[in-house]
Amino acid sequence: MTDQGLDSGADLIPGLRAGDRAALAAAYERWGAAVHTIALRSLGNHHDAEDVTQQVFVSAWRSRESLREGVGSLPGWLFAITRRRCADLYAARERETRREHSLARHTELTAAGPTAEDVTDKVVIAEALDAMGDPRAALIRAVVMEGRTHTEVATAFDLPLGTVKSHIRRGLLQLRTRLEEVPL
Amino acid sequence: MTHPDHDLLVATALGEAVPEQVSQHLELCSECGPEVESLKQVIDMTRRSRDVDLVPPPPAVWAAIEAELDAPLQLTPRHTEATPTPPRHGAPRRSPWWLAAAAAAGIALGSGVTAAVVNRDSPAPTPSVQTVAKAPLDTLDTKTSRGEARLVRVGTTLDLDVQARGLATDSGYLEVWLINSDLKRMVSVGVLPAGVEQQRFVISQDLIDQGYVIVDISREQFDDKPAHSGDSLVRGTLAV
Repeated sequence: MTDQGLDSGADLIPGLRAGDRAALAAAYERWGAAVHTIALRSLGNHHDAEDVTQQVFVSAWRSRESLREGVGSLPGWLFAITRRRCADLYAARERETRREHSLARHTELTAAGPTAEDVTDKVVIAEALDAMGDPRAALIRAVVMEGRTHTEVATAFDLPLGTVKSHIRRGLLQLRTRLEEVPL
Repeated sequence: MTHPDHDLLVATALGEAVPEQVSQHLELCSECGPEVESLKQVIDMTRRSRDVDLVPPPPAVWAAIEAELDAPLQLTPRHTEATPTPPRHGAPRRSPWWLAAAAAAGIALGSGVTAAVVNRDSPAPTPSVQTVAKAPLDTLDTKTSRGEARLVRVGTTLDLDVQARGLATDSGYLEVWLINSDLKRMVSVGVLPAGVEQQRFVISQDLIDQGYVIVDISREQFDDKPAHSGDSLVRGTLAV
């Protein structure tokens, strides 16, 4: 079985570093939706989500010199920037809220806020599964999300049991690697 | 120590039944136990990601990215006395880079507002769009209606959305201006490309507050005179 690697964006890094705007456009094409979704779910409103999406790609472009081939993945880097931007904006909002409301009110509001790390991780996984392609993504969905056994799924997909197990194992490791690239 | 096959660690993390000696090993082994815990976390997060649908940003976001990258500096409107701002040197000229950016992004010029409001690719993202004021654009000679200018608040941004049709340029180009109600000051807000019937320009609340409320579209020549040509085609006042 040939391993299906997750798209690391390695093909775009030389272009980005060289200042090729088309490489940024390609990165936006591939990961803009995930960046936007992280922001939308973290911040809860479209305007801020669009602002953060814009900020992420602008700051990615401006700090593209810091990209190194073979160190992490381009999407991991973009998602890490997104998580940071959302956290910054959320913190700024809280400061604003603190100014506007009493302490009691403020405590209540922060308690109700979304947990950015959880949101980001979920979107990172959803994006990775989309990018992973089938049969691996379909197998992960069946075994991990739906809780079907390896054996059931092997029969359903008409694949050898060993192949199914291998896909699940490698798929989970790929997801873990991607999550590790987007630190808190 | 012989460690179990990694597949068995995955099976354990998934909650599947594994041989007794594997479970016993996991309790004792300082490598395999934590590995199972780590896999469990990934599995848990994967299960929780079920409800996530990726929502693409509206097309206007890419245009805004390109615009920001193309912007040479922080642009703030500059007010001029009597003489309008020269093209290419003036700070208030927000539209040229926005325009270039939109063109480069392959986004239909003038569709910015529409794109932000009606995003066909995704059901969700719609920034709040509010029309603050309108101005009918009529010809100066025969008072024929040629379109409308709307002051639109998109989120925290204030835009001038210009819709105009049937404006002949022959030679030269169309330029959109905001004239102060004192009729002494004006600023150029940008170029209306030939054949484009709707164009959005980013402006600022300051301009409106200072009384720049008359929308004017003039015919300009590619010459060395950056000032208003005096050849106004249509004009209208924003009812703010």
